[in-house]
Parts: sequence; structure tokens; C-alpha cells
Amino acid sequence: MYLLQSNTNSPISLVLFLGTLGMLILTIGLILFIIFHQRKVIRFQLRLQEMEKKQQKILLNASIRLQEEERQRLAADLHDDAGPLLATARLYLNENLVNMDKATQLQSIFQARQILDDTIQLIRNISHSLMPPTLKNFGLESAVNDLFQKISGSGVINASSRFHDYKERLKPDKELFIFRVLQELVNNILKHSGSSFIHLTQNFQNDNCYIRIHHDGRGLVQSDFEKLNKSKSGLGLKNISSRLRVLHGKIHFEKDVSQTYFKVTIEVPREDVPEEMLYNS
Amino acid sequence: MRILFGYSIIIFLINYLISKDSNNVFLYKLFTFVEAIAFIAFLFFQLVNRSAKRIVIVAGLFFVLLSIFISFIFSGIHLIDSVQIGVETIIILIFSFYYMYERMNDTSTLYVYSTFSFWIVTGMVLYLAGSFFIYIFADSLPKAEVDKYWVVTNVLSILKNIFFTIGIIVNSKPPRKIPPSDFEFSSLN
Repeated sequence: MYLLQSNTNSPISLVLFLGTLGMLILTIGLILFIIFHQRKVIRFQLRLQEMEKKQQKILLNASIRLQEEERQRLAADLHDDAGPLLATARLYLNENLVNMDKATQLQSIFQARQILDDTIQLIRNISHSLMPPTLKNFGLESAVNDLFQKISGSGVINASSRFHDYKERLKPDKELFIFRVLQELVNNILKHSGSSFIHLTQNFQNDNCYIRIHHDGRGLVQSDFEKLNKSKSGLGLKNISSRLRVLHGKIHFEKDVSQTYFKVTIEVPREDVPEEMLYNS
Repeated sequence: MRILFGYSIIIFLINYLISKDSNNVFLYKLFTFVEAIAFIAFLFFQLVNRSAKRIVIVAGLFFVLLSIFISFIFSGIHLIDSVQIGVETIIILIFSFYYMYERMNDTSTLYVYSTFSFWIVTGMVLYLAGSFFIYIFADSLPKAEVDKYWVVTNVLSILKNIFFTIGIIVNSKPPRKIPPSDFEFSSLN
């Protein structure tokens, strides 16, 4: 103000005073804006990272819970089914068997054999549920066709699958992950949708494998999927997400344009995505 | 940092010579020239964008040519050369704000004020923006009136030096230690 008061008569002095003041205010304002804007951007990014971590924690918990459930199921199958069967077979083949008459001996051995056959079948079923042999030996196409035939064979629902372009198989671990995702999706459709048919199609486009499932029952759209994925429930969906994350794949839930069907599309890259490309994207 | 060190020594010498011979036009022109070149060089090394670096070189060359041209054509007319200082200020302000824009978009550094260059550039920008109009009008006003305003330039110069000092302090802080990636836990046993 000292400067302004001392030079009120000169218009150049006034311009000089106001110009200097204006320049300083502008510069300080700009610097403050840059500082606060950068802080805002960094806070936003930190929040995003925090959310990402939370999401990963939920997925990890889901996969651990799923693993535990699978172990419990296995333990229950072995303890409740295989255990009693083998114990019964043991009863038939006890030490007293040699003291019995031949007819009783033969009957006991026959009963024990029957029980052992049942046990073998049971263990085979458990083993198949862990790793389908069709998938291992003949690939995803055969395993999916097999699964759909079994579903269709039950007569409850009409299930069909068609692989348009699957001459070259994906890597075995990729196939297993995709198969598990498909199993979970089909299981969900059977449990919750009440649809009359399920139709699966497969195709390759731009080095990505696309698998689409159509059904006419009650279904999910993307927003429902994301909501369930973030909530504490929806273990199966979280499992789908975590498996697809490992594959660097994507999943999209939508309703058909005709509003009659629900579509679920899985997109999985044929080759493994390099880590640096993932971070860049 | 070397640029800043060189700039400080040369500017100190020129100021000392000006205090001995305050009417030497060459010393004032040299002061502006050294200041501009030091600031332009500093910005050149701090900018990341290659195109921007090229433009800084072009602007620097333009300033050098302009300074030579002005020195030969209008030598000895005015003590303070408004054109030279005006061009210097505009060039440095443009690239300083571009530097700030680069830093604003760079989220690799946690906060912009944790880098030493931010403090140096802030000091430069405040000093040049604040004294811009005073230097521009220095030729048009009588010397007695210019002297009244000179206090603003001195205050801004002190402020610039304070910011430069903060920059040096920030730069001298030891970098954050990063744990070794191949740390062997067996060595703890």
C-alpha cells in the first residue's frame, strides 16, 4: 500500500503496482493449485489401491473358504461313505471266516467283494470330481460336452454345447480353470435360475477364447455380479473372479437384447499376458 | 545442483562488481544473461518430455541471439534492459509452468514439494513474476520512482534465495532406504 499511496498520481505506477500484485497472486494461486491437485490425485490413487487390496483380500478369503469346504466335503465322503464300507468289508472277512462252512465263506467273500466294488466306485467318483479324466485326456471341449450331456441326460433341463473353433487346445491348467468356472456357472444356473435350457458356445477372436452361456431363467447382469462380488456372500462368484484373474480373463453378465435370455461371456487370452503389459493396462 | 552453485557464485561476483560500479550497463546485461541461461539450463535438466527439452534449447538459443543483438544495437541506452528481461521472464515462466504441469501428472513422487526442483522452480517463478512489471516499466519511469519499487524486487530476491535454500536442504536429505530384494534370512540365524 505504501507503493500505491506514494504514486497515486502516475497511471504507470498504478499499472505497475496492480500488474506486480496480479502476477504474484496468479503465480501463488497456480502453485497452490498444483500442490493441492497433486495431493488430491495421490489421495485418490491411494484410495483406489486400498479398495483393490480389500477386493483381493475378499477373493483370497473366498478361495480359502472354498478350499476348506472342498476338503470338508472330501473328508465327509471318505469318512461317511468309504470308511463304513471298508469296515463292513472287514467284518465279512474276519478271522472266524476260516471256521465257517464253505457256503457261508463264499457268501461272505461275495458280499465283501460287492462292498469293495462299491468303495472303488465311490473313490473313483471322488477322484473324478477332483479332476475330470475327460478334461485331462481329451481337453476342455470333450469335458464340457460330457458335462452338458450328463445334465441333459437327467431330463430336468435341456443342455447343449458347441465349440466352433477349438482345434488347438489351451494349456492344461488354463483348461482346468475355465472348466471350473463353467462348472460353477452351470451349477448356479441349475440351482437359481429355473431355466428350461442352457446353451454354450465357444469361439476364438483376436487371440482370445470366448465362451458364452445362454439360458432363459432368472439371471444376473454385470452390476449384480459386481455387487455380489464385493459383498461377503456369493462365494462361488468370488471364486469365478479369482480364477479369471489368474487367467487374466474377463467375465460379462448381461441380458439379451430381446430381454428373453441371460448371457454370460468369458474372455480368456490364448497366451499368457506378460506382467508388464498387465501393469500398463 | 551444479547449475545452482555456478549461478550463485557468478551472480554474487556480478552483484559485488555492480556495488563498485553501479552505472556499468554491461554488468546489468550480464546479470540478466547469466540468470536466464542458468534458469533455462536448470529447467532443461528437470523436464522429462523430450519435445519440451528441444523447445527449451530453441528458446535458449533465441534468448542468446536476442541478447547479443540488443547488446550491439542498443548498448548503453538504458541501465536496465526491459526487452531482454521481459523475454527472459516469459520464456522461464512458460517452461516453469510446463515443469509444474509435468510434476502434477507425475504420481511416482509422493508429493510435489518433496522434490528439490519444485522449490527451486517456485523461487524462480515468484521472483520473475513479481519483478516482471517493475523491470518492464523500469525504462519508462524516472530513476527516483524506480528506486521506490526496487524494494519489491529485493524482497522477491530474498524470497527466491530462501526457496533455493529449502531446495538445497530437501536435496541434501538422505534418500529413503529400500530393503534389499534378495535379502537372505539365513544370515539372521
